[in-house]
Amino acid sequence: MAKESQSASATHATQYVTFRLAEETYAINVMQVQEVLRVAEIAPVPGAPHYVLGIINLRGNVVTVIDARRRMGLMDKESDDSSRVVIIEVTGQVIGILVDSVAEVIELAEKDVDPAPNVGNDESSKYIQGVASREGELTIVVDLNKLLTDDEWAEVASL
Amino acid sequence: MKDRPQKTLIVEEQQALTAYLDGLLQEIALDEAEPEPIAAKVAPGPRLVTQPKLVSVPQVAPPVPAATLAPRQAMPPDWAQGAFQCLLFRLAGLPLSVPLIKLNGIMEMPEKITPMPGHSPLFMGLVNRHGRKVKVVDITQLVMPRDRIPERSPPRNLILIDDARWGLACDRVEETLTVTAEQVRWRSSQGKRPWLAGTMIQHLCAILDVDYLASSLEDGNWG
Repeated sequence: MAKESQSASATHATQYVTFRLAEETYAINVMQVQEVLRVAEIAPVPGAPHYVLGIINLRGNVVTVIDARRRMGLMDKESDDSSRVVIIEVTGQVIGILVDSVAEVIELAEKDVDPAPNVGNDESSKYIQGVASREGELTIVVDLNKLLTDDEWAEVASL
Repeated sequence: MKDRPQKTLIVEEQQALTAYLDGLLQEIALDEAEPEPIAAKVAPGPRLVTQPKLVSVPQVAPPVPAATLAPRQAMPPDWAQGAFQCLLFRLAGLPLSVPLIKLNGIMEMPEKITPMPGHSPLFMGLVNRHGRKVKVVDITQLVMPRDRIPERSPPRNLILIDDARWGLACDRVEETLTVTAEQVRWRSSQGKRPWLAGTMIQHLCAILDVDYLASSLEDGNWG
């Protein structure tokens, strides 16, 4: 029985939204994605952390937008027609993340996601939940709950 | 930026490599010489029996044959009994080798490597190989002093070790050599270069301790 339950858990599929950053594919849990927006005006916030692009007005609500590239230590890139702001909700807090483009919704079973390699990684990479192989390509699965540390979440909330 | 004359560059690279190889050999020589047997410190002859330090020694060793007075030679590992084969490759110009018995394969450097954000710069990323993920590393900074790493061309091959969990990026692979344990100066795992299993004297080429390297990479020991 326990084995059956374990096996069911391993084959249980979760839906993910995939997006592209620096030619790589990343996946985030679809349940945490509220909507996907084209890039509009983002008002910078003086004194904000370097990965915070600014704030946007989303139907009367102020939403902080962070740059996924900067957060992950990747090279900056100018926004273009493909760029999107993905509005996500993490532990009750709504933020936007700027990505190069949004690709598709996929299903991944737990068994398809290998844990992230523990190779000389620092604290800031704890948000990488694992890596899945799809059609010969690798997809990096991001744990949005760990995208920022508790202190950083608090800082973003106070903007 | 001014280009340096090619000739100067080559001379500098050669000097750096020569100095490095000399360092390898000297370290092995030191390693071998360190824990001398007590008998080796005692010059044979009756005069020493009267020395105070030896009074407490219950039995004075009889004169020891010259062979046993030689510096301690580290023992070859299990895989190196008799003749064995090694694959030579170049890493930033440095000749290195891995024992074939520890080799899981060689790959052309794939065009597509998936980098993992926030990891050590030595970790180049993941490569999909037959549905398995190979962790690609550039071990140059582990095996060479950082100030001696020359300018280099992009790596062309991946050497797969540890059940193909790890891929060592290298300039290129070269030939395979058959050597015997006696043709190698073996070293113990302590010292500045624990990744070094030994050095093929005739070819001035270090043999990597693949097991140590894989386990230290796995442990996150990235120098």
